[in-house]
Amino acid sequence: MRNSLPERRHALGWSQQRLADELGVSRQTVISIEKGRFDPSLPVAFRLAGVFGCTIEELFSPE
Amino acid sequence: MNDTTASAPRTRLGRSRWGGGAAALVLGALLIALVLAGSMGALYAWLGESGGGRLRFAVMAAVTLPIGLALGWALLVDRSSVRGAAERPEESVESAWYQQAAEGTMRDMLITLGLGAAAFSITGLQVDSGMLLAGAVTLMMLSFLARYQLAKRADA
Repeated sequence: MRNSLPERRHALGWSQQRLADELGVSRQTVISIEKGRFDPSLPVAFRLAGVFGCTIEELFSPE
Repeated sequence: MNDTTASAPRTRLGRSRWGGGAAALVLGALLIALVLAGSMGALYAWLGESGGGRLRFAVMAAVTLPIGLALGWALLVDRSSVRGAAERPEESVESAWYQQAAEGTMRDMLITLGLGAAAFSITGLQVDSGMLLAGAVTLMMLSFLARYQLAKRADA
């Protein structure tokens, strides 16, 4: 999956650890999601959408 | 930031899940470790041959004490109070690595034990059952460790 996480995170000025804390997952998980190597579960995807104030479709798109 | 992370500072050891600080946690873990080490030492001394009971007790208790400490800490700690701990580890990538490693280890053990059973039954070889089980457990741990590290490296 392609995603716009790094750009949106940088726009907020957040570190990967800050985002991981918000989501309740490890920093490694955020790294893996940003690199597109780990697809988040639906609850994590919804929390991501909530954090960035957008829809899941705006965050993720199939490659 | 959520309530848990905002309200209480996280520490390396964490806090007891039943209240109290790190001291209460360490004390509780130590108590569990002492009971476990004492029981294992007594059992080992009782099951052994006559003579040398105290030495057997001391050796087994000394070996079991650190394991008991780790077990006691794991049982008593409030996970969310440990520095760097994820609140939802089951949704983290580590959970996926764990699952991959567990599945791989299961396959490894099925193949190894199957081939081993066939080899033993064909050759008629007799081995100590305790050693055999200890070998199987060691192999299982090594397989899991290697597969977990491989899964982690593939994602890095």
